[in-house]
Amino acid sequence: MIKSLLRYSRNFSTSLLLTRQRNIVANDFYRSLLGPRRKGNAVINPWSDKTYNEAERAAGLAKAVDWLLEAQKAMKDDGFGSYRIIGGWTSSYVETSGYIIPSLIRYGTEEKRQDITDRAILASEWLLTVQKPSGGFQGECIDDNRAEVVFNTGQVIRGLISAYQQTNEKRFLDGACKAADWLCSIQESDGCWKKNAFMNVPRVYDSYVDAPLLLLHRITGNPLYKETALRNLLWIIEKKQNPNGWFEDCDNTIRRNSKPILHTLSYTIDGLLECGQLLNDQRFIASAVKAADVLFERFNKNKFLNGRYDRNWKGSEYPIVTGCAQIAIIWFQLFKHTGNIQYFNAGLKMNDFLLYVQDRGLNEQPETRGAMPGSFPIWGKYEPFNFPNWATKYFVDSLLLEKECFQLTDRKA
Amino acid sequence: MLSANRSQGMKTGLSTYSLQDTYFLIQLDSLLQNGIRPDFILLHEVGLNHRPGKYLRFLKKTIRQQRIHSLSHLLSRKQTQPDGGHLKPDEAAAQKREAFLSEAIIYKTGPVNGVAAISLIRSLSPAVIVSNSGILKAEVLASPDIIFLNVHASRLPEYRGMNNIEWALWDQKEIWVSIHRISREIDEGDILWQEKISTDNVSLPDIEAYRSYVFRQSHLLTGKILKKYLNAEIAFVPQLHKGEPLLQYYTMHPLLKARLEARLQKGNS
Repeated sequence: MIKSLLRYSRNFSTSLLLTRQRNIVANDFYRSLLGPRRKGNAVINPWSDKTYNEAERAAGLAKAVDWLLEAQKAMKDDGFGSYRIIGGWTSSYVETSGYIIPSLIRYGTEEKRQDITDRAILASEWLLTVQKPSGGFQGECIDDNRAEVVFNTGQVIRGLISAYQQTNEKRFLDGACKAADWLCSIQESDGCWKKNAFMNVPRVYDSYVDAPLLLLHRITGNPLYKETALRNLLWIIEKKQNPNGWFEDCDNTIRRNSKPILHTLSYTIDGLLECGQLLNDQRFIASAVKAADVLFERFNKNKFLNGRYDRNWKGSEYPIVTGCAQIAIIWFQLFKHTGNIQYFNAGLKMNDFLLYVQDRGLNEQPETRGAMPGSFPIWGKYEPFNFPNWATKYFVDSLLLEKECFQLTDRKA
Repeated sequence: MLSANRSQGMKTGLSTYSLQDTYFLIQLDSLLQNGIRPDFILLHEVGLNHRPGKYLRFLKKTIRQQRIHSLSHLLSRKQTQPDGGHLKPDEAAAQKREAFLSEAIIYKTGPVNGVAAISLIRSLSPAVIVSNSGILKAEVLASPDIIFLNVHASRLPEYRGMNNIEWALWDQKEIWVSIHRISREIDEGDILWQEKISTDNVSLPDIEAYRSYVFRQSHLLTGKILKKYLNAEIAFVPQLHKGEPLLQYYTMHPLLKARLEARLQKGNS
C-alpha cells in the first residue's frame, strides 16, 4: 500500500515537472474528470459521444501499427518493448513480442505492406534466439532474465506459428513444437499448469495457451497437443467456472484473485471460445458465451467496462484498455460465429471508446503517438503511466476484426 | 360520449411528458375515436434533480386537482401533427381532441418516478394508464391493480429495447407491434395484443420514414385494443423467454445505421 502510494506520487510529481508527460496526464485529467459525464441510452461512453467514421478508424489503426513498429525500433534486439512515461522504454517483452507477430503479419498482408510483415518475421527470428534449452520462453522483459513461464510460452507459439505460415520455414515450426513439447511435459495430471505458472499458481487464463496448442495440433497432427489442451480446458470449465459465468483463479496476482482484471478474464474467455471453435465443441463455446454475455450486458447498460469484476460480476476500478479491446475482439468473434448483430454493435461502440482513448489530440512524440495506455485514465491501477505494447496490439486486432465484420455484413447485404 | 371504461367503472389515464408529444396525441385521438375518454392525464416533468425537497414541493402542489390548460390556451398553441407531417391531418379528430383537452383533468406530477407521481397514481388508483413516460421504476409499478400499458414496435420477445424498427429492418424481418403491460424488466411484461404493421404499398424511403409510419400505426391501435380489453374480449398473455440478455437490443451504431440507410435507399431505387 505504502509502496504503491509512493510510486503514484513519484509518477504524478515527475509527470507534472516534465512538459511532454504533463500534457498526457493533464489531457487524461481533463477527459476523465473535468469533461462532462454522459448518461442515457444513446450515449456511446460516459466520457465522449464521439463516434468515429471509417476513415478515422483506419487512421487510428495505422497510427497504432506505426507505434508498434516504433516499439520495435527502440529495442536493441528485434522484440517489442513498452513505453513508460516515467522511465522510457523497457527492454523487449518476450511473451507479447510473440503475439504481436500475427497482428503485424495480418495488417501487413491486408495493406500490402511487405515492410511490416518483414518486421514481424524479424521478431520471430529473435524469439528463436531467446528460446530456453527446455523449449520454454521466459517471463516478462528480456533484461529481467526470468525462468520459463507457461502462459508466456504459449503466446510465443502463436507468433512462431504465424511466422511459419507466412514463410513456410521449418525452423519456426520446430521452435513452436519444441515449446509445445515442453508445455505438455510439465502439465499436472488434473489438467492445470502449476509448475512454471506465473507465481506458481494454476490459472484459468491458460485457456489462451490451449488455443495455440490446438493450432499446432492442426498443423502437425501430434495428438499430444490436443490431449494436453483438452485436459486443461476441461479443468477450467468443470472446476473453475461458477454458474454465473465468472471464473475462479483468473487474476494474475494472488492477493486480488477474488476480483480478476478484465485483461485476464478476456484471455480466459477468448481461449475457451477459440478452442471451442477449433474443436467444434459446444461445451467450451457455451462457457465462453456465458461470461461474454454478462460483460456484454454490463457494457450496454453502463457504457463502459470496469477494470476488475468480482464473483458477482460487480465492477471496480478504471477501465483497463487492453481488456476492453480484448472483449471487443470476443464480441466480434461471437458475431462471426452466431451472426447476432448485437455483438458487432457492442464491439463497434467499444472501439469508439478505444479510439477516443487513443485520440489524445496532442502533438505527441513517436514514443506515445498512436499508443494505447494500460488504463484510462492513465493513472488507473493497471499499468499506471505506461503504454504497454499489448494494449496497442489488442487495439490493432480489434480494429482489424471490425473491418472483417463489416466486409461480412456488406457481402451478406 | 359514453365511454366504455366509465360504463364499466374502470378508470383510465394517459401519461406523457408533453401535451404536444406526437404519440401522446395519436393515442389520445385513438382512444377518443373508440369511445374512451381518459379520466385524467398525467403530465410528467423532465430535467428535475431527484432531490427529496423538490419531490415534497411537487407533492404539495399535486394534492389538489390542477387543471392547467384552458381551451383558449390550447387553441393558441402551435399544434404538432401527430404523424410528424407524414400523412394528412385528421381535422375531425383534432377538434374532438381539443374539445376533450379543454375539460380534461391534467395533473402536473413532477418526475415520472418521483414521490409525487407515485403518490398521485396510488390515490387515483386507475385500472389502466397508457404510458408515454419512458422507463418506470419498481416503486411506480408496485401497485398490482394498476396496469401500465406500453406500445412497442416489435413482436415481443423479439427486439426488446432500443431501435427495434432499425433492427427488424436490418434483419429484413416483418415489423410488428406489441401492446404490453410494463414490468420491472424492460419490454418483458405480459402481452395484450400483437399485430403486423404492413408497409406494403407505402413509400418509405429511409429509416426516419419507417419510424414515423410504424410508430403512428402502432399508437393508433391503442384505442381499439384498450376497448377490447375493457370489454373483456382479450386478456394478457405472459411472454416466453424472460431475462435472456441477447433479446435486449441497444442503440444501433451510426456506422450500421448508415449501412441500413444505404440498403433502404438501394431497395427503393
